Amino acid sequence: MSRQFFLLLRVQMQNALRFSDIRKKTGKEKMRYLLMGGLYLFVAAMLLFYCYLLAAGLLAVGLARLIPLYAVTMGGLFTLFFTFLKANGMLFGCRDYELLTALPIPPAVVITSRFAVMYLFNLGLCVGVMAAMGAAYLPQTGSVLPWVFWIVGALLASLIPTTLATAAAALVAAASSRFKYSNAVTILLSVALVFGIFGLSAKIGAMDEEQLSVSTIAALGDQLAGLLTRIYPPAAWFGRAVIEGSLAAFCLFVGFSLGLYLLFAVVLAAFYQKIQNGLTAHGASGQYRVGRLAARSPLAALYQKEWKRFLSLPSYVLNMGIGALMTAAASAAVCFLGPEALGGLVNIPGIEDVFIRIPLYLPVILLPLCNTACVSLSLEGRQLWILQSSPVTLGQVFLSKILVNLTLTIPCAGISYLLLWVRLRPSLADGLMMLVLACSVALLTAVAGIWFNLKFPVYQWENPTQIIKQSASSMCGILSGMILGVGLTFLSVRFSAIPLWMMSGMQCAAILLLAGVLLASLARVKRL
Amino acid sequence: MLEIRNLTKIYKNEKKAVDNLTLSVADGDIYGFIGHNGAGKSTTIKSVVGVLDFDEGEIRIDGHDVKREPILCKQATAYIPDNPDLYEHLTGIQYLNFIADIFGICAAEKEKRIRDYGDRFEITGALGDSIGSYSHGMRQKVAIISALVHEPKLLVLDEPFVGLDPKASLTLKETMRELCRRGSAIFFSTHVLEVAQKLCNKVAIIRDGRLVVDGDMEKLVRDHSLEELFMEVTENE
Repeated sequence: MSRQFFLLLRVQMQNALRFSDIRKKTGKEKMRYLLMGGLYLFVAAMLLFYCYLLAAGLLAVGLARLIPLYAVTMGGLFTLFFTFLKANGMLFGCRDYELLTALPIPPAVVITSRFAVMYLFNLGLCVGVMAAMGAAYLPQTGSVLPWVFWIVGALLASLIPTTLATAAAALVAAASSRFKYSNAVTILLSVALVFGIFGLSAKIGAMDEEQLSVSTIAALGDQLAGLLTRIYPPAAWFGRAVIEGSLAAFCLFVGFSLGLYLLFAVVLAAFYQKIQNGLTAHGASGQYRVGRLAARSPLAALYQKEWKRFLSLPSYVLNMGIGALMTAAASAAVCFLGPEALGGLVNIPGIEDVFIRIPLYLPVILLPLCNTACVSLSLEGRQLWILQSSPVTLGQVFLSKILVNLTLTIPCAGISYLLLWVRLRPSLADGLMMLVLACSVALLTAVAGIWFNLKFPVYQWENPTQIIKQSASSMCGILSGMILGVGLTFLSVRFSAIPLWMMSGMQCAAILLLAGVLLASLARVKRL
Repeated sequence: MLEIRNLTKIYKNEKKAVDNLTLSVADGDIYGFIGHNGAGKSTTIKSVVGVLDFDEGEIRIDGHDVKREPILCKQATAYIPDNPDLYEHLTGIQYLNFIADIFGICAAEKEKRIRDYGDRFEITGALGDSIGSYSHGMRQKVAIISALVHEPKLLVLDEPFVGLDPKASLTLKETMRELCRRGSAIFFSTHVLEVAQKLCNKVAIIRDGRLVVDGDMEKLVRDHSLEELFMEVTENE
C-alpha cells in the first residue's frame, strides 16, 4: 500500500513540477523561466520579510506570547484559502480517474496521494511563514524545547487547514453530485465558502485594528490571544507548547493534526467513488432532434465556446473569476458600511484625501485578479488541433479569449463604480476617469494574460486545475495584476496633490499604451 | 488538390521525422498513406493541415501555399486526427454548430447537413448529450461529421476507422467515395491494408520519413496484395 502511495505521489509530483522544469528548455525559454523564478523568490522574500517584521513588532511591544499563535494562524489561513480553491479539482477533476479505478489501488491511497501533493505544496508556504516569525521569536526564548516544537510544528501546521479545506471541497462536491447542474452548484457553494473564509480573516484583522486604540497593551494581548484561540484552537495548543514548554499541549496539536486527516481520509474513501460517479455521470437522453440552428460569425462561435469552457470548470471560475466577485463585494461593503470598513488607515496624515482615493481604487486593485485569459490557451490542451486546423486567424482566437475576460470585468467595474459613487460622491470627472482607468486595467490584464500564456504555454496536462493553479502563466498573470493594481494606487496616494481625474487620466494613458504594445506583440505571433 | 514537394520536418531532438517527401493528390483521388508506427505519417498529415510547422519544402492546397495563405488552405480542408479529442464541455450539436460557424456555413445548410450526416452515422439522438459522456466511437462519428459539414475540397484523415463500429465504417467508406465523385480529394493514413487496397485509387508507403513507394493502386497490386507489397518494401529497405 505504501509502495502504491509513493508511486502515485511520484507521478503526480512529476506532473505538477514539470511546468517549472527548465532543464529541457533552451535559450530564451530558459531565461524566461529563470526570470519568473526570480520574481517568485522576490515575492516570497517580501512575504517572509513582512512576517518577520510582524513578529519583531509584537516582540518589541511585549506581545511575544502572541507570535506562536499568529504564526500558526496566518500560515493556516493562507493554506485554507489557497487549498480550497484547488482541492475540488485536485481530488475529483482528474482525467486518470478511470485508469486508477481499474487498477488494484484502494481509494484511500488515491486520496492520500492527491492530498499529499497539496500538503507538500502548502508546506513551503507554512514553513516559510513560521521560519520568518521564528527567526524573530526563537532566539529570545533561551531554550532548546521551543525550537524543537517550532520545527516539528512548522512541518505539521499546514496539515489541519489542508484537511479542512479538502473536506469542505469534498462536501461541496458531494452536495453538487446530486444535482443535474453539478458544476453550477459547485461554483455557488464554493464562492459562498470562499467569502466565508474572507469574512473570517477580516474578523481577525478588524479586531486587531480596533484594539490598537486600547492603551493597555497587556489587555490587548489577552484579547487577541482569546480571539485567535476561539477561531483556531490548535493555535492555542501550539502556543502553550512553545511558550510554556507543555509536551501535553504539543502532543494534542500533533495528535489532532494527524487524527483529523486520518478521519477525513477514512470517511472520504468510503464515499469517494460515489461522489466521482455522481460528478462524472452524464444523463444520456438519446432523444435529440436537430432543430433551428442560428448562424454566427467565427468570432461569436469562438467566444461562446470559450465562455462555456469557463463555466464548465469550477476551479477556473473560482480561481480566475473570483477577482470580479471580490471587486463587487468590496464595493458593496464600502457602499453599505462606509469606507471605514476597509480600516487600517487611522493616524495617517492627510487622511481625508487618502481615505477618498483608496476606496475609489478598489476596482483597480481587485479587477486584475480576474484573469481568465492567462490560462485560456493552455486550457485548449489536447483540443488545440481544432483551432490550429480551423480557418480562423490567431487574432480572432486571442480576441475571443480577451472578450470572455472583459465580459466578467467590465460590467463589474461599472457596478462597482456605481456603488462607490452612491457612497463616496466623487466629482463627475473623478468618477468617470476612475471608471475608464478600471476598464483600461481590465483590458491590459486580459491582453497581458494572453501574452503570458504564449510565453509559458502548457498543452499536455492531465488535470486543468494544475494549469489554473500551478502553471507559470497563471502565476505571472495574477502576480503582475496585483503589482499593477497596488502600484497604481500607491502612485495616486503618493502624489495626492495631483487632482484625481488628472492622475487617473495619466495612468489610463500609460496603461493603454502598454496594452497597445502588447497587442502589437500578439499581432506578430505566427502560430500556437 | 494537394501538392507536397520536398517536405522535411526535423524535431527538436534532431530526428528527421519526414525527409524530402514529395507526393501529389489530384481531385477525385482517394489516396492511402501507409507505413509503420513512427514512420512519419502523422507528422506529414499534421504539416498539411497546419497543426505542425515544417522546416523545408512546400505544401500547396487547391493552389494555395499553406505557409503563406494558411486561412485559404484551411478553408478548403477538413482534418480528423488519430485521436478525436473534441471539446468535452460542449454537447455534440454545440460542437458541430461551432465548426459549421467557423467555416461560415449558413443556418439552413448547416441544419440540413448535420441532420443528414447525423442520421447516416446514427448519432443524431445523442447530439444533445455532452461530448464528455461519449464513447471513443461516438466522438469519432462527431469528428467525421464535423469534417464533412463544410463539404471540404480536401479531406485529410489520420486513422479514420479506429473505434468505428462495422456499420459506421461502411458508411464512412461510402461517404468518402461519394465525396470524391463530387470532385473532392481524400488523403488518409491507415494500418488496415485491406481497406486501403479496396478503397484507394492511389497509395504511398513511407518508411523512416522517406517515401518508398507511390503510385496507382491498380498498377502496384497487379501481381501481389498491398500487404505483400508493404512487407516487401518495408523489410527490404
